[in-house]
Amino acid sequence: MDKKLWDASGDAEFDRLLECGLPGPPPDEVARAVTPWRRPMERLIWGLALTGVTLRFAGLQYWLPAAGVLLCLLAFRMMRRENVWLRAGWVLSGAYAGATLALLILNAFLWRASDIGQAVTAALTVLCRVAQLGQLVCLWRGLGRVRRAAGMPEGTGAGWLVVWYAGLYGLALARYNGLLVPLAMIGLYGLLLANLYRLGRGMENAGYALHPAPARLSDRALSGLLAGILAMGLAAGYAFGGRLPMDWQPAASPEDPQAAAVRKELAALGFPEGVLADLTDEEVLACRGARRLVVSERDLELPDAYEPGGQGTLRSTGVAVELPGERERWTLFQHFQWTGPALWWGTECLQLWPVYDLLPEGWAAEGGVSGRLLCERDGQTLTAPYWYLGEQSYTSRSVFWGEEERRDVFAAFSLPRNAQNRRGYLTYTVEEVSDGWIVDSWLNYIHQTGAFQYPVCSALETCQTGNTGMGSAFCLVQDALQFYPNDDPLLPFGAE
Amino acid sequence: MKEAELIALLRAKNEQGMQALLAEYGALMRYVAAPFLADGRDLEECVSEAAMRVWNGADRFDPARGGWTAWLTAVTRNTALNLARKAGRGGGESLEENAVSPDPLPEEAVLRAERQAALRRAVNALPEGDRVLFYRKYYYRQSTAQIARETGLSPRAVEGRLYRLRLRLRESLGGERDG
Repeated sequence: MDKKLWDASGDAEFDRLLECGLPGPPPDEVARAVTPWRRPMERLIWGLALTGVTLRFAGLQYWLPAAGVLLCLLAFRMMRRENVWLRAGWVLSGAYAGATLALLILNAFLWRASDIGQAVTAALTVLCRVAQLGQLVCLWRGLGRVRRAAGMPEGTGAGWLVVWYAGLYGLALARYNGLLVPLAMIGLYGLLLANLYRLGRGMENAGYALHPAPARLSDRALSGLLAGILAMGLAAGYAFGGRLPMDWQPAASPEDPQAAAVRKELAALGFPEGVLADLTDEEVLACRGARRLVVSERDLELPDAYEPGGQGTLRSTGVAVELPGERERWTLFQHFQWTGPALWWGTECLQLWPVYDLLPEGWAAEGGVSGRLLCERDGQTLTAPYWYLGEQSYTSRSVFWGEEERRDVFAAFSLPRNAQNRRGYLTYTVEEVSDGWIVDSWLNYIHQTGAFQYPVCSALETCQTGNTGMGSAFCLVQDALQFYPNDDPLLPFGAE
Repeated sequence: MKEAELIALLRAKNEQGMQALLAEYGALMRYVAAPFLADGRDLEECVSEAAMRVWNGADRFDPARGGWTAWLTAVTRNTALNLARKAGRGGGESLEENAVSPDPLPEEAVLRAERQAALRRAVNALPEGDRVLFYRKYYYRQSTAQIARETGLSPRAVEGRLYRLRLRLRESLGGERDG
């Protein structure tokens, strides 16, 4: 190559040489690529297509529509100064993107499951749907005006998009569960994509009349900014929003001398001392005059234990105390104790299947279920009430039993990250309804094994949805206190 | 109207072809001419003149040498360049649709042919994005601000990409680097 041909003392001179040496008109593909419409229209088409996609796989039902919303935002941003409709579309796409971003971040916080959180989620979802539909109306009217400005007839076909989306929303609101709807949805989706493609082609020449608006932030910078906000929001959610707020306080030392005497009686009957020490004076006094007791102790295997094999991390102890009285009455204590560390301390849940629910023909509840949590920190015993303790109705979906409405006792809580000897218990009393029924009380423990789940769910929600299998951030272990109470309290248990 | 129908009408000197040309491609022609002509009246004059050139020269359009859009773009661009020169210098030689500058002297013609051949090779070797950027800047004479608006980049990012494009072209063309 002859260097002299291209020697230039500066950029301006080199630019002049390039202009003089132009090899001729650009190739057709380049000529078609040099247009103000292609970028916004391609983004709109992809954006609208992606926001209509719901692939329930690997979180794509969240991220694909989010990418679509961002593409629509970038497209409307470029076209916002073209006419009033496209400007309105820009505002609506901004609202849509903001609401979507807020929903995505909200999904990383357990707070979303609270009453206020659910109301906020519902409001944001409605805002998304309205903004999406409004955005389509603006697109339809705005592109029509672009065509008119280019001296072409207004028809773009974008109005059908509004009709289709309105139809889709109608189907969603109707909650039709038949087979025809999914097929119709697929057909509609194909029609939608085809129409979007035709719309893009139809705008090819009219699009040259567009005058993209200048922007202080480049598309990449704006996308990066939104991605950064999302990443920070998600990080904050995983760091601070994935635990239940607990009220840990120093535990009061047992001081009641009567309770101390009952503690001695119970210990003499074989009440495990570690469990007995955790009970309040009131609970101990309620067991005054105990006739006998039944103890069941088991180490439960958890998959996320540090120790190889993972056995013995959670110790479950069931104690049944028979109370004095004419009718047979039992107070049951179901106690758990972490004997080793876990990989992650997020949310935990106890699901109790009390004997009065399992065998209502034989046993009736006497009072409600109570209990508390304890742990040690810096040599001090701390205690906290459960974040939630009570009965909840829910729809259980099981491979074995199908779908059924259930009502169980749940205790939801979080255990402290920097503490030792984490433990807690539930207790309740039952009285005999009719003779001959066994005592059968189940405790299901749902433990969060890892931080990463999306949307973030509590152990309580996971317990109710039954999502504790493979790939879940939660695991389930079970224990049951089961025995047959003989009639003669003087006979040792099992000797009848 | 389809492209082939429009070309057929223009070649047949049917007035519907001219109307369709202005209706369908007027926006494109204004878009191409706008960077060369600041004045709105000049722009409309350019579109009319370019349309007349297309009307008169439709027979010379050869699909084998390039697409319709590229040809129409070239006609409009050269018309706009001529008008800009006339406006700036009080007249000058005009460009034909596939020409890039007035007829040079024989020595200059040889140099220009060498430059064009070298530049064609260098431009063809560019990645697609850089090739489009090259034509935007040097063929369509689009400003940095316009390129930035249409590509979603910041003006600074466009300047950066143009700087790297120049470096790349200097390397492949063998010219001396500046500074």
